Order: sequence, then structure tokens, then C-alpha cells
Amino acid sequence: MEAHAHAQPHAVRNYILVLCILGVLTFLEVMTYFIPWFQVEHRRVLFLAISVMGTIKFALVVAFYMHLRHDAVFYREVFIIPLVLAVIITLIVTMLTSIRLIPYQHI
Amino acid sequence: MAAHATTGPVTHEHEAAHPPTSMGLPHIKLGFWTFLGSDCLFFGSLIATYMAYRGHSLTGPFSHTSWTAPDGHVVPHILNVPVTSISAFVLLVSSFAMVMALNGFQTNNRGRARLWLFLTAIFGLTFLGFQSYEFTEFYLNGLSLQQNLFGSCFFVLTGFHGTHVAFGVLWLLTLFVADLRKPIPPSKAVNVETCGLYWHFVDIVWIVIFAFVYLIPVTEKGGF
Repeated sequence: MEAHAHAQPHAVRNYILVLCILGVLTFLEVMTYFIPWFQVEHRRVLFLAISVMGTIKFALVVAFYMHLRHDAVFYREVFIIPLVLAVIITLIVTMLTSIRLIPYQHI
Repeated sequence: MAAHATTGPVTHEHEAAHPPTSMGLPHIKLGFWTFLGSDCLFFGSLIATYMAYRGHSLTGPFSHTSWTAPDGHVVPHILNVPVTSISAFVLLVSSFAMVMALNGFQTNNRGRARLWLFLTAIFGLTFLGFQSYEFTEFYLNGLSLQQNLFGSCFFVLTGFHGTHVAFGVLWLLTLFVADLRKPIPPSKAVNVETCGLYWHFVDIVWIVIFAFVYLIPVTEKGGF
């Protein structure tokens, strides 16, 4: 138990640090959205930047707040396999539907 | 059982201290991770539907561009990013509060556990308040579930998320009252941990929705 007594302030410090990083990333995401350079002709860069920041935030919460980083490997497999499947499905659907051969107004 | 009263992650040594199960892992936690995996697919399908139909609405109001109604009334872009940014941050803070509450339960620090658990529920209710305000504003600006493709996809996606948050708040308050009636010992902290997993999941779903629905603007052609 002594080791845990030492571990506790360390864990709390990590939680606070993760919250700070999450706050900064959210602020950066919103600022990126409001930069006109991205809005006008660099939407793909905006998409990439927001996707990367969102992914980091997602990973931080899962790893540190949900404790998946230190927990049993089996939990990781049970959660990450459907998650990857969901991401692949979303990507495929998004890519397929972003190529519009026939304008919707004419269907 | 005392070895189970840990902070933060449950390590393999502590899994060994748990009552034996067929897999050596607490069934409640394993079952819940499986549920979260299935919920990933559920929200994945809703987000994929939103992405498939983004920018395909034939009539307004639109998410990121203004629209002139048939009566000549101009409706500005419907999404209010500054307000939603605050609600997104509130949900992130609630995740922090939840992990602090779990830490309190695991270390048998009752004051900390109860305070942070209650704060988590309050932050959750605050998020729901923001969402109610947002939905009301949208409705008053002419966006409803039946108005256009954007309205249908948006309300179904964010509505299901809001329902998850509401259920999470009920769960948190139930735990809070249960702890007031009979303190939850560190050996039963896995029950709080399960609620925490659910709450953090609700948070990560919002991280994705906030990024893809609110922050990535829709072009007139629907692409990126």
C-alpha cells in the first residue's frame, strides 16, 4: 500500500496535466476553425488539423481517464477492434459519398 | 481485498486479487468494455450517416452557410461554435471530475469521492442545459427533424448523444445517493469505475461529434 500512497499524487498530477492538454487542444481546434486562411481555400488542411487534434484528445481520454493504457490487454482488444471497424466504415462511407457523379437535384 | 484499494489503473496484480472469474478479469468490467465496443459501432453508423449526407440538403437552414427562406428572411449559419466550445469543455472537465471521484473511492477518501461525483453530475447537467438551449435556438430558426437532411442527421446524432448523457447523469446521481445511504467501500470501487467508463465514453463521442459536425465546415458541394 505504501507504493500506492506514493502513486496517488502522481496519478492526480497526471489527471490535471491531461485536463490542461485537453483544454489547450480544444482551444486550438476552435481557433483553427476561425482562421480565414483555412476557411477559404485550405479546407483539407483544416480537416487534417482538426482530425489530428480530435484524435489526440480521444486517445488521451481513453488512455489516461479510462485507464486503458495500464489495464488488461483484453479490454483493449474488446474496445479497439470495434472502434477501428467503426472508423473504417465511416471513412469508406465518407469517401464514397463525397464523390457525387449525379447531382442530387436531378435524382 | 485491501490490495484492490488502488489509485488509477487496475494492474494485473490487482486483477489476481479480484474474486476468481473464468477469464481472471471482473465480469462487470469486461461486459461493460464489450458494450462500449458495440456503442462505438452504433455511434460510428450515426456519424457515417451524417458524413454521407453532409452538404446534401436541398433546403435550409444550413450548418455553416446562410440561407434565404422562401419569404425572403435570411437565416444565418445555424451552428454556434463558441457556445458549443464551452459545452464541449464542460464535458471534458466532467471527465476529469469523474476520474477524481473514482480516485477518491479507490483510496477510501469519502469527502473527495462524493464531492467530485456530485460535480460530475452537475457538469453533465450543465452540458444538457447547453444542448437544450442549442436545440431550442435551432428550432426557432426553422431547423427541425423533418426540415432537411442536415436537421434529420444532426438531431438524431446529437439527440442520441444527449440521451446517453442524461442516462449517465441519472447513473451518477444514483451512485451519489447510494453512497450517502451506505458508503461504497474500495473493494466495490469497480461499480464506480464502470460508471466512469460510461461517462468517459460519452465524452469521447462528443470529442468526435464536435470535431466533425461543428468544426469542419460543409462546402456547397458536400466535400471537404
